[in-house]
Amino acid sequence: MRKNTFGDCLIAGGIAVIGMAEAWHLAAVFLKLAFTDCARLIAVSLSILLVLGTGFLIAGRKRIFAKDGRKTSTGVRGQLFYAAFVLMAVAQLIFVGIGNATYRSGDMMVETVESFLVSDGIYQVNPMTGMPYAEGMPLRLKILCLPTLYGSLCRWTGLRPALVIRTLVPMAVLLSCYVSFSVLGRTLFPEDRQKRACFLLLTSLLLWVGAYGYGMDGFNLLCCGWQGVAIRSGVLLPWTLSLCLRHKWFGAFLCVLAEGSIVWTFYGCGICLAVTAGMAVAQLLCGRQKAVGKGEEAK
Amino acid sequence: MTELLRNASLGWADYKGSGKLAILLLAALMYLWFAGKWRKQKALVLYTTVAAVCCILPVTAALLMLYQTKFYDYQWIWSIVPLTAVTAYGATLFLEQQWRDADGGGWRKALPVTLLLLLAVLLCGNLGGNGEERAQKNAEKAEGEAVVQMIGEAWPEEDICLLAPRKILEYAREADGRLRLVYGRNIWDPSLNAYAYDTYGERETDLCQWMEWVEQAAGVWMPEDDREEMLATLEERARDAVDMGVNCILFPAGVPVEMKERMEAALGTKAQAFGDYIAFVLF
Repeated sequence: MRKNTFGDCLIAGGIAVIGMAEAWHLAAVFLKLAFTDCARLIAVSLSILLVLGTGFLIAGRKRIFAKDGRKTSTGVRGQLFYAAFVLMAVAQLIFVGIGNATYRSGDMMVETVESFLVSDGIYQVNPMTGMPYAEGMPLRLKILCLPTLYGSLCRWTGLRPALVIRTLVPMAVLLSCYVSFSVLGRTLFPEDRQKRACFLLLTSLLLWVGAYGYGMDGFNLLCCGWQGVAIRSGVLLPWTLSLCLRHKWFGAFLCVLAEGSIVWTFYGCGICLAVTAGMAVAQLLCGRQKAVGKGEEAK
Repeated sequence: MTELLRNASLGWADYKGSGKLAILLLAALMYLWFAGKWRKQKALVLYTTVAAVCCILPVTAALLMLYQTKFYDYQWIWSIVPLTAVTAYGATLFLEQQWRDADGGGWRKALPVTLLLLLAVLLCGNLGGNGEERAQKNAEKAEGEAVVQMIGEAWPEEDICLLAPRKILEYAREADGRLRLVYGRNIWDPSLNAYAYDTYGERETDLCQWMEWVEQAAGVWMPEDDREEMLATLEERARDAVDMGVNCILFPAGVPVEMKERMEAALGTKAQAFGDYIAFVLF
């Protein structure tokens, strides 16, 4: 599957939102802009992005939504799989919405956003106490854009940071995760809708099951879905894998940049880069083995 | 007997609650390799196998932790392994193989195999296993947030710097960003200290320790040595708090009357009833 699907466009749009937020966040941090101004600039930029994105989708609708003639039908079993998957996903959304299993140890996103909104500045006060910083904070964390993006959402909507961060954002991330896994399913099973449905169902089941332990994909998405690591493991990495399998390296590079904007990495070298590099080497080795095999056959 | 059953269920919850999805991934990889299913996605299966082995072997795992800035715990290196994707991929191929002949009566074999696989996957998790702990935390959170909301409603115009028991301070800045604190929850959750260079001095840690004693003093029992030290340092801690800018102090309502009177004298203000707490307000 070489062509870009609607799912690809959605995730690329999400990455563009992260990129936009990161650019204005950095501008606000280094130019010491007021948070209200930064939120306003992000709003204007996202509106432009939305218009451009919609225009792009309309212009390319024939290509993006084109039906692939080779596909098999979903079949009754496939439809059952899809129905079960939808039920599981809705149950997970309700689980996130109830918020009983929220894990906040070692995380201060809500306090950070509260402090942005109250002080009308980015990292002007220590989120833990509300007092001015005595020694400051590490630059490697200061450059991450998620608090500014979430704070902007709160500023535009007037909703409380706890509601936006603990409930609405994790729901959106969970849905994006399924878009990402759906694209990966299309890549793994390009001609078999039934297998794709089964793949999605099993993915949702594994996410449920994985909610047991700190650091697991399911735990990240269902218990702390607002964190950068949850977006990385649920949205960026499945999409990166799909892109690598389709040899779309520019898209994978965008994932590397997005990860660097939301997660503390080793000077920008994060998991997306490692996965992309690993997959590139693996494909190189497999390609070489195939070539050697063909050469031997020819002899 | 009830206690025995409870312990047995908690023991089982603990037993099944650690790291079995990684085992499921290894099973999926073995299936992909030995059943010849790796051929369609060679690169993915090869990469996942190598990445999983690197996470298991101590030396390569340490290198991966170095790559991840040493800030993250061990389990985060598993992010490099597409665990969910490859496990789901292997399971999909396995189920497809079982159901291939289902229409010709093969469902009699496929159905039990599918159910067994489902059971195996479910047993890898721990859904609802720590429900009791979660319920307790949520109750504490609801109480903390309710008290903070009451403070905001009681003195909406004031710039409040709060000193209160831990279960209130834990949620104070989340519930109302206008509240200032002399120490936040990073004083008892050290993992939060990675987000700033600021550290707490002796006065803040002493005050935190003293507030914990105050909470205990409102309970049924506390060690005698702690009680003596708490009472001996009461005026000093009250003075420290005011010096640091505190203008609202909450004590549990159950503290001894002597403590309440000494605080009133030290702060020059009358205690006010405030739900399950008493408040010493300096504005």
